[in-house]
Amino acid sequence: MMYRKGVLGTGLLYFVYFLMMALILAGIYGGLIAFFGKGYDSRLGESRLLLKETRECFEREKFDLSSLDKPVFFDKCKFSSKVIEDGNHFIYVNNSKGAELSIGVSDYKVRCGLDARLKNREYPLCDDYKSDNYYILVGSSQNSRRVAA
Amino acid sequence: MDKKGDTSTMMDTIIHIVIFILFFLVMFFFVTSYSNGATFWEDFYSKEIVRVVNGAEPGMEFKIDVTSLAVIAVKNGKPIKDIISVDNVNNKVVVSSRLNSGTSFGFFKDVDVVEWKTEAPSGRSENTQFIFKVKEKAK
Repeated sequence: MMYRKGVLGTGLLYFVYFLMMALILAGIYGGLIAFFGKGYDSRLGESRLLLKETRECFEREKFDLSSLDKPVFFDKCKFSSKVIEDGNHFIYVNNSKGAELSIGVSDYKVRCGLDARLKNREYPLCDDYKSDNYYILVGSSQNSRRVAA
Repeated sequence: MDKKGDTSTMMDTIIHIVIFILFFLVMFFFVTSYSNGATFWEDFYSKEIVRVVNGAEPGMEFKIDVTSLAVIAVKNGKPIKDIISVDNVNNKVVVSSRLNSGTSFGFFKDVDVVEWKTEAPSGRSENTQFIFKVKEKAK
């Protein structure tokens, strides 16, 4: 194999070329976000609705948490397991006897309390409800997705 | 051995130019979609329709004004009847005001959205409505 002088330099220029493209891309994207905003944030609205539906379901069905399993919960509360378990939702319920039910991303129990959730759309915004019998915590970090249509 | 003026030099240049053109085409469509509001309104309506579906009870019927979206869709050459669709298998609402691209958002309520249609009574994009019914999930 024969290598000429400057071949390495030419190769390195590709790196500079792609770096420049990345910088332009970041600049234009940043400018667009700065001018048009980040769009509509529905995470808290969705969490509140999910909490309301969960709370009403628990009051209606009088579940025994110690023996409640996910399929029964989804069926009785009329929730879609595909959406709730898509990695962007969380439902946690416990009672005074220590029994608990956790569905979705269990780490959201921690992320719900992080300050970063207010700025970062990948973090969930959460809502909770406490009664004599139950403590319910729900969260959503669902964002719209670009798809072929 | 590479010589000055060899085909590999020309290939390098051609590859550079092709990447450059592709990059700016993507950027052009990206900026255009933002500047005419397509991205914003798609995002907004997908989330609002899902909010309505999540809060609905089976048997309810809704009419939602989607004029802002329809105006952009007409400008982009998208037929009004195709701007909103519902995927009941995956529980998703898909809103699209551009050709070949759209925005989807999932509804957690396990219901079917049926008899959905987007129509403009006047035949123009003004007063365009998305009409749909919510019913129990078909098992």
